[in-house]
Amino acid sequence: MSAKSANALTASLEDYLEVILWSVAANGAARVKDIARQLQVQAASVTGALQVLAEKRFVHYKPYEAVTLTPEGFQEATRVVRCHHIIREFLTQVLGVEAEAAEEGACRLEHDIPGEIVARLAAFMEYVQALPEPERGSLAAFIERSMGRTASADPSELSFGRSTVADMKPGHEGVIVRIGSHAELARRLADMGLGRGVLIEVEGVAPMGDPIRIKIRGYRLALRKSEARSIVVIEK
Amino acid sequence: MRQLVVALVGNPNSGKSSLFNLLTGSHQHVGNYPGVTVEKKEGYCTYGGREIRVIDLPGTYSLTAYSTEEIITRQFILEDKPDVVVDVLDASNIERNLYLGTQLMEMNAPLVLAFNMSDLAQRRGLEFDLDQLSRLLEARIVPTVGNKGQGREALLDAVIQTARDDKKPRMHHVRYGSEIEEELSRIETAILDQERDLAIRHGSRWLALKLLEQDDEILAKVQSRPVLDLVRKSVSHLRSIFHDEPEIVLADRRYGFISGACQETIRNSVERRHDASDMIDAIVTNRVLGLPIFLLLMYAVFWLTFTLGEYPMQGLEWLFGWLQASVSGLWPEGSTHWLRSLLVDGMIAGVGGVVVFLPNILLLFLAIALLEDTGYMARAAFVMDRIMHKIGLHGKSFIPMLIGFGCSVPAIMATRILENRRNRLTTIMVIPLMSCGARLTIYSLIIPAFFTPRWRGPVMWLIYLIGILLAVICAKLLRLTVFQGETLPFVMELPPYRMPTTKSVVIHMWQRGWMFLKKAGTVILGISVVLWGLASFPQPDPAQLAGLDEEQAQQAALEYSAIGRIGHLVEPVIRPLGFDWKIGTALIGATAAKEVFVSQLSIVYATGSDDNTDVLREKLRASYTPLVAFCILLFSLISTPCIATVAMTRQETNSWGWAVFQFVGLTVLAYGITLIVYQVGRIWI
Repeated sequence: MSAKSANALTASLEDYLEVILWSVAANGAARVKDIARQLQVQAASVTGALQVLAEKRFVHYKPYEAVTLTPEGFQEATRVVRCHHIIREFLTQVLGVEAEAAEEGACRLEHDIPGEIVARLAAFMEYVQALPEPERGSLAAFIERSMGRTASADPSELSFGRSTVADMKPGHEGVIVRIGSHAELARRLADMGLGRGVLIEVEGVAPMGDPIRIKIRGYRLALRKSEARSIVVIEK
Repeated sequence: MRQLVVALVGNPNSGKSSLFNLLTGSHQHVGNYPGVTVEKKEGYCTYGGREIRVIDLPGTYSLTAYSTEEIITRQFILEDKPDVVVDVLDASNIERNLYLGTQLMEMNAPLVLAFNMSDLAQRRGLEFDLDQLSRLLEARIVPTVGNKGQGREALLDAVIQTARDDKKPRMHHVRYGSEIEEELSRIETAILDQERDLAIRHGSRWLALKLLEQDDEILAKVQSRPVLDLVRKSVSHLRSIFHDEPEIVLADRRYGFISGACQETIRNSVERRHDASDMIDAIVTNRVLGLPIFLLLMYAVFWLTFTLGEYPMQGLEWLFGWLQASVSGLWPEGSTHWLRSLLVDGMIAGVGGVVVFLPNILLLFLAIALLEDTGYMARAAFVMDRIMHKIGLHGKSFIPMLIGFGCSVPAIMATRILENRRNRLTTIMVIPLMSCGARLTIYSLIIPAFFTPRWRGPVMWLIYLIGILLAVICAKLLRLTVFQGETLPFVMELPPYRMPTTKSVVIHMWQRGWMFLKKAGTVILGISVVLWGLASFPQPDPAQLAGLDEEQAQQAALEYSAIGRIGHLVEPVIRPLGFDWKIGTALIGATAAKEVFVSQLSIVYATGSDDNTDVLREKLRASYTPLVAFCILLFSLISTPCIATVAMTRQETNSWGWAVFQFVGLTVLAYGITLIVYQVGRIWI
């Protein structure tokens, strides 16, 4: 968790603000028991939260009175809601996430995501909205295809973000995750001691760019880049 | 008492050879395993009152059924059942080396582990609890330093003791985890039930393991369908659990066992991240320095072999010249007695023709031994691989091809450093296209005769370039057709740099030289004598030679001889190339050695000895066009350099078939290309 300013709210407090905003908008004010019901918490927790929010001057709260937002509170509450909205739209429209999962994801992300990133997401969403329909559709279709290629939602199955020994720079270390190659090469690599969980260090590259030198289990090995590409690693 | 049979196994670069030399001294013999080009080394020694026969099996990393070396090693241990198997390990690299050890354990081989290079291990700060390790692996462990001669007695003691041990079943096994062990026991039961004989011979657990690994050799031996079906089911079951082939998982688990054993018993007291080898490599395989350093070393090798070799070569030439003169002197001056000719021009010249290669070969193999023993050879392959791979060859192929620019004979012998058979054969086939030193004699005769000084350099360069280009194209073609096959994985170990010992280098050098003399030597001598015969007989009637001066007499004799007649016979065939019978005769003679081309041509043109090359050049100029001259150069470039090459190819490939293939292939290629060049050239020029 990154350090937050003194005025920054914790997740549940932001949730409170959101609820209060909608209640005030609908009914003019929010009542403790309504808030408790919506957030599914005890009334006592609500009063505690309201006290904190009042100290921060986000809400007007006097015990046993209805709650209203201060101007600062209103701003903060709308900011949170807007964040939520942007993230949810990104998740559903661009990434093609299902509504329920998107809602939950947005709920989690809205609290921790730095404002800068939300602003850029918003700008990105504007770009996406401005796209003519066929292109907008192909973006979603691409994601569907990529997801369809993998049997599960396991990120390690997809190619982006996957590192192989061929991608590692000299001086870097990594741990072998998988060897995905045809039988002959896999066997040879296994015989030489390259297996799951083993530490591998890339020492250098040949003058003409290929092969590469690695260190493993205390000894040195030379591999062609095409062979190194089949060794999947997590880099340090 | 009965002779003890001991097999030596171990990883490449573990110092197995020096340990073998240590055990057997000079009592060793090198040969070939039938049908393959893998070396077979055997030797013997006497110790403790027993005679011990030692077999040095090929170095391998593992004992699967995929490479010739592994199959030979495995077969020897299983079928020949040696009394003891000594696994030679590089003590400073124990984990990887023990991988082979665990497989030997699973074969139930009576094992002794030689922790070789233990001096280096000590220097690196490694400390071993040998007792515990010995208990875990259930094998005696002996620290040795092969190249310094340490550990011989201890090793032989361990061998004799192990041979005396009762054959008890092992207590410690590599445990593969519950899922695999379950499948193993199921398969084992089935094997004991259905394949009793196999089980008794090889052990049920080992068989079960091999079947799970889908070992081709073992799968072929199992007949019973139920067992095979069970195996198939187990394999797919394990595949689905582990998302990997069972053999990969087994390899993983073996290493796990090894790690565990090592963690308990080995301590690294000095924590050194980067050692001397790393620092040397940082320079030697550097992006900037790597190539220049490599080229410099190659130049040094070339210089050592040919420039330095020049002196002993001249010495030998002088010696044989003297020998020829002495024997010649036994007959009166001017005699043309057949025996005199046979001895002087046939046999002595023939033997001389063989021995003259010896300095080059010894020096070349001195250089190669140094490169290999220091560990640089692997780095050379590393630097060159990118280019070589594009042609379909291995990085190491560069060195023999480079040597080919000096002489094909040692170059072909140098292909021993290539482990892959297909790579090796391809390289051997194209080495003759590297324009060798002997052809220079032809070039220096022809080029100044037909080309103005401005063109002489470029023409020579052109010839060399054509040679290289053809070699690349042929290599590629061969790899796509005759020697096709998936490229075997490159994955190559870079051994730590080591100081070579004089003894190991000299032994290495000597063995190669001896092999050359014995094998290639006999073939070369044989063919030389035949060629001498063809050039000397039939002899013309002395009456026919009356009135001719010496040169004209020689000319007449040559024309009358078998070679001369063949030259005439062949003329119609070589006419399309622009050649006449005179060139034909010279070319046939040149199959003995390219230098003979010049002397034969001199005789044919009655200019006698080659001191009169200018006279000869004038005569050639008068007889042929520059186009024909260029065709002569081309033909000399592409066709087989000499019979020594053929003999060497035969020796290194262990078959006459490949030697003939090379000879015929080069001849056909030479004919074809020269034909095209001449015919097209005639239209243009």
